[in-house]
Amino acid sequence: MKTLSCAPFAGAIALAVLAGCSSTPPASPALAASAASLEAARSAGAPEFASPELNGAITKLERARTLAQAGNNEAALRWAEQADVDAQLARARTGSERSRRALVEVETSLATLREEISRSATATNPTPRAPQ
Amino acid sequence: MNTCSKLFATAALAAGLSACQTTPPTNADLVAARSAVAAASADPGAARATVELDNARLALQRAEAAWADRRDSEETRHLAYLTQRRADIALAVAAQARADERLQQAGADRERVRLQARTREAEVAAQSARAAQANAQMAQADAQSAQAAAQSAQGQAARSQQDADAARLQAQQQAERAAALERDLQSLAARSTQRGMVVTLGDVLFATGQATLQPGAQRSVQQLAAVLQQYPERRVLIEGFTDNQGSEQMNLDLSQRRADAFRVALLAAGVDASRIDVRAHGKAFPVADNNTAAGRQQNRRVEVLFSNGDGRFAGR
Repeated sequence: MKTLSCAPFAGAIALAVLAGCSSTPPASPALAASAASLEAARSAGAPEFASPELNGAITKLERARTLAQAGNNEAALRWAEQADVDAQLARARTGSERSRRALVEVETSLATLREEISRSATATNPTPRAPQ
Repeated sequence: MNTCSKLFATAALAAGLSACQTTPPTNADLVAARSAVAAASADPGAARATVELDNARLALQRAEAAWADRRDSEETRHLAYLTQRRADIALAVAAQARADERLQQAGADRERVRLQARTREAEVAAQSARAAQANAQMAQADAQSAQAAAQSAQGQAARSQQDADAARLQAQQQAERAAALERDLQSLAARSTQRGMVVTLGDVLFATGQATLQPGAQRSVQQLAAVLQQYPERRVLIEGFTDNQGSEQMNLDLSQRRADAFRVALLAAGVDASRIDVRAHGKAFPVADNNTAAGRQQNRRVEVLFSNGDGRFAGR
């Protein structure tokens, strides 16, 4: 397990502090945000329409949680951020896939309808006979 | 190298180089992220994903800054990844918006086409219904005119039948009437000739060589008048004849006067003048041999010819 121990480099600690080393924020807000995005993606239907992106997000969130538990906040943060954006992408692609399939269905039925009309238009209609 | 030692190295480098700002070296992840954002911006549907595109641009700025300021390839890689994903989100949102637009249009088209199809179907159905109705009406009219023709033919047949029956009846009646006339004329010793019934009045009914009717002739006159009254459709032709003794002129004159005398007698008996015709023939048309006295007497006669049912006489 890696710990963020800066003790051996006392001199560099000041600079390191300036560079924001030990003030890595806790990962829990990012984890919560990712979890929320995942849930939103799930309820939008991502398991059916964007499962690769969703599975990727789940895996990363798991990894982020593990790292956070181990105390590696910086790494946990990154994985959480990626999980979050992956989940958002999963949700966006679910929406576009739904719309795409709906469009295909309507355009197909429209084409079928037009074909049926053109077929029936060429069929002969009964005409009145001439008076005898 | 752990994170802190990395930071130390970076800080030292930055401290050392802070005075001069140089263009950062190429970072492949950053290049990829830039082109992803550029592609998303250039997408035809970009206008429908402005929020997502702004997010992608912000993410790119973070990535650019990480590389320019800290040359942190890991952080840059991470931020470049986030940028790429945000660009992908923008593309997906744009794609959905465009699909939804087309979906709306296609849905409207489908409804319009359905409506057209239903309208056309209704028109076609109405047209066939009208055609069927017209056909039915024409069939009915044909049936009616056929029936009328049949009725008229039937009427005509009945009339023809009636005409035939009437003609037959008339002929029958005429025949019966002619037979009745014949019977009724028997008492006058009428003869049936080609020209019709003929009653002959002999020479004895006249004074010798004269045209005066003897009283004995009255009976014949009365009988003839009675018959004529019973058969109003008939007319009589009184024809006078002589023997061959004497001149042509004298015989014509005598035959004329005798016929006239009988006519006058019939008029006196009540027969209408329009029903009597008179003709004189003189010695023509003898009926017996003029060389004998008996024959000559026979030739001296008056014939009364009865007309047909129309009042006409047949020629000799």
